[in-house]
Amino acid sequence: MQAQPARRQLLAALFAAPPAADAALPPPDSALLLLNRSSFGATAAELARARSLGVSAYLAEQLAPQQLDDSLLDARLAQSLPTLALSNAQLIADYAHSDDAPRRRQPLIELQAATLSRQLFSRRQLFEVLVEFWSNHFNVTHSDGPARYYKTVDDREVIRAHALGRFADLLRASAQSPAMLAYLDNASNVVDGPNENYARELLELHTLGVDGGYSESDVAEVARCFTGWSIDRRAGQHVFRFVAARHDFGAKQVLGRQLPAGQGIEDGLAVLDLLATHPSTARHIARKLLCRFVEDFPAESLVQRIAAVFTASGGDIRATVQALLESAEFRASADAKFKRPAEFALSSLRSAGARVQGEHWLRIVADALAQQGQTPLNWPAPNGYPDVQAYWLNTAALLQRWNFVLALFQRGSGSGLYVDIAALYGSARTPAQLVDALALRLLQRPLAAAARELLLAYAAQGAAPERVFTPASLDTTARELAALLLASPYHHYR
Amino acid sequence: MGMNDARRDFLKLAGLAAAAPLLPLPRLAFAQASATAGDVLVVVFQRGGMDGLNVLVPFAEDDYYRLRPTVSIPRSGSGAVIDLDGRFGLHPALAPLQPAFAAGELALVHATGAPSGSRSHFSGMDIMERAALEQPNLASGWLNRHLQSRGGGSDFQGVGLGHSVQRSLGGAAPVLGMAAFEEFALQTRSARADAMAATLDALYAGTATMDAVAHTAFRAMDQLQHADPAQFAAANGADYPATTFGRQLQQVAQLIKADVGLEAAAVDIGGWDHHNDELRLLAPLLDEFARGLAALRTDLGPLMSKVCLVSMSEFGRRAYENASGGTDHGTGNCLFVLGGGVAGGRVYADWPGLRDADLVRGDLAITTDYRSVLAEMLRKRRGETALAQVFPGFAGTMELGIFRAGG
Repeated sequence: MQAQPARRQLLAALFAAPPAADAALPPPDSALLLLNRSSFGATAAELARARSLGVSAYLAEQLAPQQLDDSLLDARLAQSLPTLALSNAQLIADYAHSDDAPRRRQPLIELQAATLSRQLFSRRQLFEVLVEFWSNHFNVTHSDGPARYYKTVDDREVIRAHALGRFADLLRASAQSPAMLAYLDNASNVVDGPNENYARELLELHTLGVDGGYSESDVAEVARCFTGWSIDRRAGQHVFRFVAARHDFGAKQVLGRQLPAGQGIEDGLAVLDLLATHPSTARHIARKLLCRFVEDFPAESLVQRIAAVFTASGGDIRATVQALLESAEFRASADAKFKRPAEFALSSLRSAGARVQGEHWLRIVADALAQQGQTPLNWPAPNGYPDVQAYWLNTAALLQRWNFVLALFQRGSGSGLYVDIAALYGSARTPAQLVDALALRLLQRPLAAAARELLLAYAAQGAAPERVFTPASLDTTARELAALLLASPYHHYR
Repeated sequence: MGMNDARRDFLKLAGLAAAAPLLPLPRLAFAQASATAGDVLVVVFQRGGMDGLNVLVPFAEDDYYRLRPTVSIPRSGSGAVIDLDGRFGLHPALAPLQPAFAAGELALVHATGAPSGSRSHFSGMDIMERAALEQPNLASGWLNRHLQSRGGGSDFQGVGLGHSVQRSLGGAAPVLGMAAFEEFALQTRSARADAMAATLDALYAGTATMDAVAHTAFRAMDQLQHADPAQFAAANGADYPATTFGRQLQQVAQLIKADVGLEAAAVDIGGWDHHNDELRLLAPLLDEFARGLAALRTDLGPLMSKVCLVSMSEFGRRAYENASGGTDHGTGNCLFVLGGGVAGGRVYADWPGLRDADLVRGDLAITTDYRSVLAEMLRKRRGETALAQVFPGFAGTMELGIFRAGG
């Protein structure tokens, strides 16, 4: 692992060119900043709620998601997406083994639909943000072989069950999840031919981090510890099972700790305990959470502080997230996080109060995300979607975002996904009123004078800014202005 | 009226001509491009860790079959290797590349890679794409440093195909990210599309991180509209695979034919991490890879004399198979070099052998630093003289003679 310790510095240097925040834009207020980071985009209603409750009370509410009534959404999803509640056995028997190709695809399509629906409509937005975070941390590429079926259970019983819980529980659930056992090949990790795939990613990605202080020998020894951790397919069950006959019962040494010979499943459990409480894991998780919620490259001192909260709380995810969202660094981080494609698309819909009908909207959004390289749950490697601006910001990405919002405001009410433009501009009737009303409603923060001047010039078309539009011109101009506002630099940060 | 003229008029109308920064008119990169000496570089990254031992197979060695009793390509019979020189053979799915090899335009290098010791996908890619192992704080990629060394070019000088710009292209020299031509335009039914574009462009002025990217996007849109690379259909019966990789290679060919000033393109092909069921999974991927490269060569015809494609992957795989019908992360690998300036038709290898004593941590050893291939390519085919800046800390100057001088 030579050259690894320097990697963090390298990444920081590589991506450090842009300043931490874009000072050219008037900053959002504290309520909007919190919503930008703790949700898939501020809606007018949520922002009003956060401003009236105050950010502390609003955050407390989001950190206790069970208290937030989401029953309407849950009921609708349960009714329209029947595969969400099934076991692996049912998913495999009734869908994977079906002769009907659309039916074989149904569990994947339904989980994707549930993911996007919850991100768009759930009141438990911070919870959904963490679900997305852990889905990437413990990435299982959804379209990869049996993950098409196993991921439904993994999403429900691993990620969603522990997204705001204890890291150790999440880690163990993941280690025993058929989705992960299949994805990183541990299901075929056996004493007479160990498969290192899971062991390596467990150390590098899930816990210690690449410079977390493990060696190649640790990778090989951890692989030995997990031999026999397998998927029980007897009677079509598809559940975790420790198969003693495939386990290496020899003595092992992991991170300097001796594991005596003769242990079975205890080897793997001991490794998970060792890793969950390791200081490198605390730093790795703290750094990744800070990258999600605060800035691409958090200062080492901040990482240490949040890692200390993680450790002191026994790996409590809720306490760790609360600490970083209440930090001074968080409050000072406006416009420091560039949205990824899904965040851009969903926040556009949430901000504009887009109306959806039937299921066609899911196709529109899923196609746009596929085109932009962020299909939900489907990053093709074990490390999950990147979360730094340097990966996502380029000419193609900006163009695709511009085109997404241009299309959004051109759609009519019959298209399954559209914006009620009149509801956005309200009583505005002149170019000046239109720019101000739409900017306030869509961006929810002040425009810089130069930006307002440009948009006003666009809207007025050379006439006086106080001239009253004709109805047709009002509608057209409002749609175009709305697209320009969401295509502007203001909407790319979260 | 070009888009820029319309935008200029709009801004004048809006009284903003003085306030808003105007885009320069599209630079006539097209004329400049022809004057640029050197091959167009096409860098293909095979993400996931390609198993070089099953791609360029050392079929003469009994040790290969000893280490891989089940996950190997047979010497003879059905599914046998394509014998290249009595020592090495191509995986049979690479048959589409036989004509290029026979014509002397395809060379292969074995037991190569980045001598980093990393078996991590993510560190491994990072190390290979920066190609500055000895300088871990150097952020830029090797292709970008080469473009920096060459000085300014067109907006299409460096193009990364896909959702993100490859790290090899990242750095101070401005580069373009492009998913596909047809997506590289503002799509609006508005009667005021030009005014919208002008307003949008101006809204980005002065933003700390997005200004240059947005302006480059608008300039490149104008140039694409002008050059219309999509007009160049695949020629000479070239048949690109109907995959993202195939389409992206075709787009590279179209950019070359449109003469927009392309000097370096980066393309990815993923899916090489074969920890299990490797024989079944590797063949279709190699077929896609081979048909893509073959189509590019066929399509470009005589233009191929000024194109040089090189492939790489973050690491090779373990010399011995695992119990899942696959192979774990390893070290030494093979790479492909294709182009008119390649001294091809042969395999370049300082072969370390596959006896247990020859292996490093159970892996094929690296005897040729991949940078010696890249350095020779840049020197002979791109006239690069500042190799110490492109590959800082790389002391190896041993050239294998894979390239003919005079690019």
